[in-house]
Amino acid sequence: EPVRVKMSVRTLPLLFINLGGEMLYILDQRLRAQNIPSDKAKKVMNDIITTMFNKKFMEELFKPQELYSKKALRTVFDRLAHASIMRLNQASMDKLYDLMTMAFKYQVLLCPRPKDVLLVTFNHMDAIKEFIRDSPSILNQVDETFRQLIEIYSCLPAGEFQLIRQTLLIFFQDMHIRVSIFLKDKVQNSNGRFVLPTSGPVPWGTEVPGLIRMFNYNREEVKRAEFLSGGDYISPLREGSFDLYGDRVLKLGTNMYAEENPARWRQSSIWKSVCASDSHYKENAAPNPLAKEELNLLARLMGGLEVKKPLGSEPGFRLNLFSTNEEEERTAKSCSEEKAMKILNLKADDQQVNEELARILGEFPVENRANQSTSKGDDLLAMMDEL
Amino acid sequence: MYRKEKSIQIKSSASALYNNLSVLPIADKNLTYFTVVHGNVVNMVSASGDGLNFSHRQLQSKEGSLAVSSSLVTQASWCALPSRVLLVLTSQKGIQMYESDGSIMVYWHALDNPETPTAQAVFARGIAAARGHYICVGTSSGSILVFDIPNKGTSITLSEVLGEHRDPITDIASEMSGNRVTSLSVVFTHLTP
Repeated sequence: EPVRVKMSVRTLPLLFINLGGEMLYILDQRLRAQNIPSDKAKKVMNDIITTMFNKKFMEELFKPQELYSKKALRTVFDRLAHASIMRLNQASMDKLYDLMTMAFKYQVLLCPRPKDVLLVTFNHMDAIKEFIRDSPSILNQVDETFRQLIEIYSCLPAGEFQLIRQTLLIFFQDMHIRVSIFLKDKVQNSNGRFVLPTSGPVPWGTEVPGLIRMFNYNREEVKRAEFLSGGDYISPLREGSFDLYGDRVLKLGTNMYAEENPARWRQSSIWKSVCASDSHYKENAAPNPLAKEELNLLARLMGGLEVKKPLGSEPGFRLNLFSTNEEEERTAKSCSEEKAMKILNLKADDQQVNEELARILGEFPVENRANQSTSKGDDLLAMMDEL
Repeated sequence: MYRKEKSIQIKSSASALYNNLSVLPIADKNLTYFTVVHGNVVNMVSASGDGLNFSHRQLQSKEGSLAVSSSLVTQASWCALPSRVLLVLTSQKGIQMYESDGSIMVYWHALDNPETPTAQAVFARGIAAARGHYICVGTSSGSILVFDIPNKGTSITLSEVLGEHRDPITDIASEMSGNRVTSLSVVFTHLTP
């Protein structure tokens, strides 16, 4: 990952928490779609949220620092997704990550004002608290992080939020993976670009466009002119709340998979993925001189990511991000061909990075459990999956 | 109010930055140059007056006079002085100045990078020509570097450092007559003086 995004040093917590929130929305929906027993589903959600908001991990995350490379961040989420008894194979993990990143990219792009990214974050936090509302100890951890977010971000000036926004958008630049729900809702075009609305409320604190005012040297208004903006804008009704509890007003960052019409999510076409040839990681001629520093950072971060080792013979299960096993297999095959091509193109430097990453991951072993196959009817697959 | 004319395709998308389109009309050749920043690269295209012929060029952010850098370019802007036109690039590492067509780099200025990482990012941003032979460039610390530009050649020098702002410079603009330079940074709204 050649280009280091270093603009704002306060972006990483927002990036991580929002991506984590999207991940939980998707997992929650898939767990229900696959009829995973509610106690197991709850355990998965609890385990992942506990790991995500681990105190040591959050401490590392909130230190002012550059954003991680795409590769490093993906590694963290791979780890997080496997923090419980649930397993995802490569194709499903790829798809999960595509959905997560494109969803947050969409939210950042569509935020009316830069500061609204904080409301998006709070929407995710509110939903996460809902997921674990029956577990007071985890709830406590999440509230701690919530308070830290409020403390650090509430008083940042507009310029700093604009810098955060620019940092995030540069991080997501060139990602144009098509997401079927976005295509269906016409918020994304077939070329992967998002649609910017030309109607609706203007950002809080701004006026509906259509008026030009001219002022003289003494700051007195001397002339007015009107024009048609070409859009259909209205004034915003009220500002969202930046408190621990409150109406966020903004819908971005709420669970788009939990809509009124759950039948929508049973349609297999919703989960069709387009294994786009737009690469996740942009290859570039320039070598990455900061790889070593990044690896050290990653090692420290992973150290904070405690992975629960369930005792006894708790059966794990495999989650499928596709509508059928056949589709998952097919996608895995075609994607692995693409990946094989990418591996062939790796330079020597990158190979070293990959080896080091593998070594670090080796220090945090993934527990392997014995398999227990059950009937297809229960839809509970226990599989030996290697990370 | 406006009429859309022929579109010009740039090699890659525009990064989310302030004022990320710079235009230089070359009247005597009936050409227009455009630059758009994408990550650590500046996409330059020169378009003929009829909008039918294009020529593309890419400039990379640098570190020092030779090395190609992965640092982000924050802005690219032409500075039209009476004697010459220079293309100025600002990045997280420093300031690069090129001849107007981007062919030769004539000057490189490195930003002071603190030994230990600070709570604030370091970058240059904000570019304007002023008073006949100066180019002003802002920085993330709030200071404005004023460079003295000779009529030709590479002996550009840092003439002055202005320290009025406390916040990162967003952009700089100068009056046509060149007598007045306005710099702006987005200021704290809650800060008590």
